[in-house]
Amino acid sequence: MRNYLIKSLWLISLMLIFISPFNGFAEQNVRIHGFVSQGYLKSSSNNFLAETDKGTFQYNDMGLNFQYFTGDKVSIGAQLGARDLGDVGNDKVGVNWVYGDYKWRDWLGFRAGIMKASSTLYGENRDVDSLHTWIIMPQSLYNEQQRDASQGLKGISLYGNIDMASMGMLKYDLRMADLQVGLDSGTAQTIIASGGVSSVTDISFDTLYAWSLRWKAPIDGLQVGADGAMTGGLFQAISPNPYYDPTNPLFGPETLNISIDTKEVLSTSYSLEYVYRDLILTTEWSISDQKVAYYVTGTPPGSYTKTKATSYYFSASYRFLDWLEMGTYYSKSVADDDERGPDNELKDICLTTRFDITDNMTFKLEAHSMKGTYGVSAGDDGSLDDSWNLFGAKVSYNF
Amino acid sequence: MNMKHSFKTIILSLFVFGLISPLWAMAEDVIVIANKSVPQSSLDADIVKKIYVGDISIWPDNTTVVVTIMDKSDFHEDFLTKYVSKSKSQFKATWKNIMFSGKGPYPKQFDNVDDLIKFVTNTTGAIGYVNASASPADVIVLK
Repeated sequence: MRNYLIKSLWLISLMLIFISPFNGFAEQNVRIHGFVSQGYLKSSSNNFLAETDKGTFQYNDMGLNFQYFTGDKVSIGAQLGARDLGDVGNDKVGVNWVYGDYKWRDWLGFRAGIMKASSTLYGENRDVDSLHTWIIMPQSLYNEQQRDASQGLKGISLYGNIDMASMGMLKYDLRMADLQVGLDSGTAQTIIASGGVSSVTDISFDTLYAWSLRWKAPIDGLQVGADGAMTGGLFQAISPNPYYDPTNPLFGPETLNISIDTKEVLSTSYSLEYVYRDLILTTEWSISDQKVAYYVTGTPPGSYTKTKATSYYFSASYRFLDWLEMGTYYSKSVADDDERGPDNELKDICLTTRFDITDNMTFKLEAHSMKGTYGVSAGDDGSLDDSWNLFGAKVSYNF
Repeated sequence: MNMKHSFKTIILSLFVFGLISPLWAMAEDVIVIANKSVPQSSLDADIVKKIYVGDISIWPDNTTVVVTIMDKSDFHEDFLTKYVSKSKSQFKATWKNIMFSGKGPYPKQFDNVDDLIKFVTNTTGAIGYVNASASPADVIVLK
């Protein structure tokens, strides 16, 4: 916590020092924006993302960003942010992004620093609640617990918008980066929940190579996207020794140091969005391939298990009035295409209503009908229900 | 009989004119203006649309586009309908997405037509829109 605060204060100071000589242009070239959202989640049974069985307010996001535009195609900016989602985040302040940007032409630009992932249609600003119809975005593509893995990419990016005249506009983004994922991250929590380990002691990722393409077709309102990312990772964890016997030392210690090696992790996604007046129709598909080996640290990895998971969603939203929007989606998350059963998938039918109270403030109400328990924890009574409901409410403000 | 027929024709004409005149007025209601530094040939409806959805931010002469809006005006929605093909909420969401990812500034907002014209007139690369009755001088007007 202390490190985060120190880092944040240092960054704010640096920004203030940087912009102070340009105060004369402050109104035009320096921008400061922010957002804050507070949600409430309650499930009929089970715990999902947080302690939802009894109802929880541990669901909030906040961010403050500073941007300086030189007016000569160069900009620098940073965003400090904090979030809370059950055991994830706990409102610790950290750097969401901080990067320098040089746009030589519209079709070629360069960024360096800590960036958010640009993959999927709505992934880049999923922390800004007021930019979306939903409270909980479709978990098949936007896994809320693993959001930290899509933010804090430290590296470089080549990007551009290629104007193809009558053929539309092609946007691209090529990235090479290191993932900044901490031991208190949602990714670590996911490993604990799914890997049978009691704690994660170290996380190291291989360099991430990612690409993103968006084609705005000549048909008004139609956008097609494709994204890919390739990486690997090694996680060190502590696991209870299932054979432990205090009376027989031959069965080893009470806990074991476990290594979880993931390699050839390839994630691709495909997107289609069509906007007609106030109607927005979207579908996105995600395919994840990886090889995983669990082994006692210091021993050979042995064989790797190959898994493939295909997840997708369809959504529709319509704005009836300036202040009223409604939407629905069907989302299916899959852990492994070769497996069956309720613990291998999560099907979600969502219905949401969004009220724009002012230009900067929104209030949302949302209901989910869920089938399956993939990514779901047992309820307070210790049981897992295959068929359950989730309700949410969220208020957001941005400036 | 002829007089009666003429009367009917006049009433019908007035009625039809009454129906279409708001549409006609709406179509003429808003004009796009740009700073004189902007190459005249680069200003057409397609470019205006791409600028106002954030896809183009540099003019062909390599100067930065400075986007201005009058989102509180009664012609803002007409402009979006005519040039951008987006609703007010979609337009706002598009620019907030750009803004919150650090990829560009939110368009400069004006409440007053004269202030916007003055800014566009004096700012290299600036583009904006005003109601047609404003009759701005010293700027390029999209024909």
